Amino acid sequence: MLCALCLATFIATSAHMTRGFQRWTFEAVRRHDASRLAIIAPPTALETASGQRMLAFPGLASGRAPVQVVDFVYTRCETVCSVLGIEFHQMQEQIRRSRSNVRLLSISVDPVRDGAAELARYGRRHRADAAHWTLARPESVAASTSLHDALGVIVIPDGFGGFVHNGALHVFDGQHRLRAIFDYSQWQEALNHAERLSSAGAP
Amino acid sequence: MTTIARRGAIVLLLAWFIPAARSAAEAHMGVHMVVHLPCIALLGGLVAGELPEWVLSAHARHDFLGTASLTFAAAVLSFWMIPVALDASLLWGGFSLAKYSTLLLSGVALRSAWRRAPPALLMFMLGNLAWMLATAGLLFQQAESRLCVSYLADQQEQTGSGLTAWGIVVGAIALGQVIAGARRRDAGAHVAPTAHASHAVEWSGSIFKPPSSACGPKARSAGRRRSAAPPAA
Repeated sequence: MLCALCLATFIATSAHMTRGFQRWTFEAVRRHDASRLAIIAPPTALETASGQRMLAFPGLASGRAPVQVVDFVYTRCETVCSVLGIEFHQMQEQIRRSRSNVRLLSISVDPVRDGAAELARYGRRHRADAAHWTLARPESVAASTSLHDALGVIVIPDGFGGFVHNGALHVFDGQHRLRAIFDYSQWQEALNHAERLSSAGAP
Repeated sequence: MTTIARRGAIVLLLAWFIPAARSAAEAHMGVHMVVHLPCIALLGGLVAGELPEWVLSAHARHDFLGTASLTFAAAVLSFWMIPVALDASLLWGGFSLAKYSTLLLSGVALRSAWRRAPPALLMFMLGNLAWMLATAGLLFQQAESRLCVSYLADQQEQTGSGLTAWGIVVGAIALGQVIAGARRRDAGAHVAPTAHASHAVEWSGSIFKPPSSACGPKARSAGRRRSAAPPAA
């Protein structure tokens, strides 16, 4: 009896954690939860590369927001973030051509060292156009932590003074719900998904 | 192990719960999974030696041949090898508490079941655990992406090697159980046909008695009395 109870508890807990024995990693579970609209971004105070204050994901009271593709970067990164910058530039050009209402937002994971000047330099390097692509940092470490916790973005030191984090391209609908997460190499799919949501009015 | 040595080891292992030591252990995947967590289970095993008789006998009464204890320990060890569960334990306090308490209890359960479970059952459970550790180790070594978001990719590979090594160690212990079981059978066959019956009495007696009494003077004298009896014709 006790043996069966142990087994049943183990199976039930494992089934819940792995979403029916289908997803074994935190990132896979997060992507699954995103597809079920279970992750909502909290209002987060940001400072943009131009030094202006903005409230990202302000909530439904402020009306429907544009669909956004969001990534997390730090400006000292010469590898992955640099690639993300190139991909965001390509997305920016495609948005400009298609005249869609999709917005791009790059949020720094290092709000202490990434000031407005550093973000502006990153933006210039990747020819960011503020009409389509906003570069910003959370106003405080607490705001950054709160956003990461809500979205399940885990940032860890890489041992060389930089950072490593999960996820790459996050697509948010007009109600600030995380709709999908794409890998770095899937920027075209991410943009297509965002444009479909934008044109459909994302229910 | 003497009482003093056991208590000394308990105090030493309790140091893992000091926040600084715990954070340092949890910072590296290999240290955490290959050293830290087994130490917590070992601590549970040592604590079991400090439990009063009535607790052990109450546990034994509800744990037929140690099956529930062995199942519990196997389930706990398997669960915390699931990458999402390990990540959750590092991100949320409730999961962390669950991890340490269940691992501690699994150590207690393993120690308690060890002396009551028949060798065949021990061998089966340990064999399965060894296979699972080796499989998880190989998966961790060969995965191309990070399985745990809280750790770096190179640490994952080292952890895989460590888990595979643990699999070999546990497999060797399981094999030791097979050999020990075979030797006991051989020894029993050379003494007298009724010696098998005496083993059965010791095991069945131990189900309802604390481990110490199962191996104590009463059980041994009962075995001798039965062995000394003339074989049935």
